[in-house]
Amino acid sequence: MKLKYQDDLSRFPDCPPIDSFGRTCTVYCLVFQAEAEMEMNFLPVAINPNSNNALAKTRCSGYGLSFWDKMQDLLDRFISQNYRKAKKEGKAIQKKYHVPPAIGTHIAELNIRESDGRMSQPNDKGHIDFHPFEGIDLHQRITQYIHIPKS
Amino acid sequence: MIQLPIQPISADLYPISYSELEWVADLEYVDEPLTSLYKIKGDSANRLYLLQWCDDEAEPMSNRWLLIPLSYGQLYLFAHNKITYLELIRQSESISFPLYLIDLTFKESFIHYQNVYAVSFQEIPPTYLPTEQELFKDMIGSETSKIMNFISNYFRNLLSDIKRGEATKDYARLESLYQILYETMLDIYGLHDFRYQWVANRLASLHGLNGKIEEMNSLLRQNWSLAQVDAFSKEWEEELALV
Repeated sequence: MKLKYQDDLSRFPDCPPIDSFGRTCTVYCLVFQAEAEMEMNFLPVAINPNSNNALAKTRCSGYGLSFWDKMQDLLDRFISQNYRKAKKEGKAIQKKYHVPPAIGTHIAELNIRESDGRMSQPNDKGHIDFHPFEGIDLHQRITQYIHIPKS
Repeated sequence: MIQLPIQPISADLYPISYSELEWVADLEYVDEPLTSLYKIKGDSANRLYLLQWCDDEAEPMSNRWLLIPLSYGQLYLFAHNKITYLELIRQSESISFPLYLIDLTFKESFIHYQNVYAVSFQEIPPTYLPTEQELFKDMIGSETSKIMNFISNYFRNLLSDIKRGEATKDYARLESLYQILYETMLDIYGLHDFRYQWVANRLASLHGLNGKIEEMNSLLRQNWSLAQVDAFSKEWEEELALV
């Protein structure tokens, strides 16, 4: 089955990485819940028109989606001490910690199926790169929307 | 994007083109690369650079990066949390003045430089800089094992070259080696140990050693027997493995 953004992925060696497999599991990511903004969901950073990180377009992972294998890992990432600090700091720090709601207003829980795409192993922070197959509607995999707790 | 109070430099003064850079690993990656390590393709001088995200502009679409030159020794110190990120940038300026802010665009499958600004450390907008305390371990999404292997391979090759007497005039490589020797000795033995006092002496005189590289390398080989180099190499690798 052809991966979404296959033409872009083929520009990189070992992309997606050889240790990426189809898996059936529950993952978490940030999404917009409002219908008007839903078209911005599940867009890799190299594709997302709201992101213009030029170097992302030079990486295989730039064309993957960021998922977390535990909701706490995602919360740790965004609602961490660093994030709270970032809100008080300058623009560069805010970018660094990707302060919501720029990339989503809610946490989505998704039940991903083995046939949906190729998934990396979670890194030590629980982050996963996911490369979906073409034609997969990931909105259909959302099982619940969760409010981002106030920090 | 912050308007810098200086004019961009002309293309013939660019420090390096993006096409010359070879990506090694990301030091910070949060859904997208924010600080990345590069070497120069086929570079015998072993130059390294960090590109750190600073700022962006929606229209025309571009993003600004700080280009930070660094040595393998500095990379070793930073990756082992012995210097802060801010110290690394300050040191880089003292080694390679000026620093550069580069506005990048991505067009037709390639990275292009839109503007390049030559800046002193003082001229870098404060919001582009890390906090005073930020260490490597504070960076999110680092490809730590990839970076450690990259450093380890470099120094293993350098030690091997020294054993074969093939690093006699390579000042930059030797300086990096002395940095790593110094830190390792400090960590493992302390510099009070007479066996390694010569490392401190060599380091103390490092900046006065222009034109004396052969002498320095000769001292290295005189003071270190092959067995010692082997032993050090082993110890150093074990130390790295603990990180």
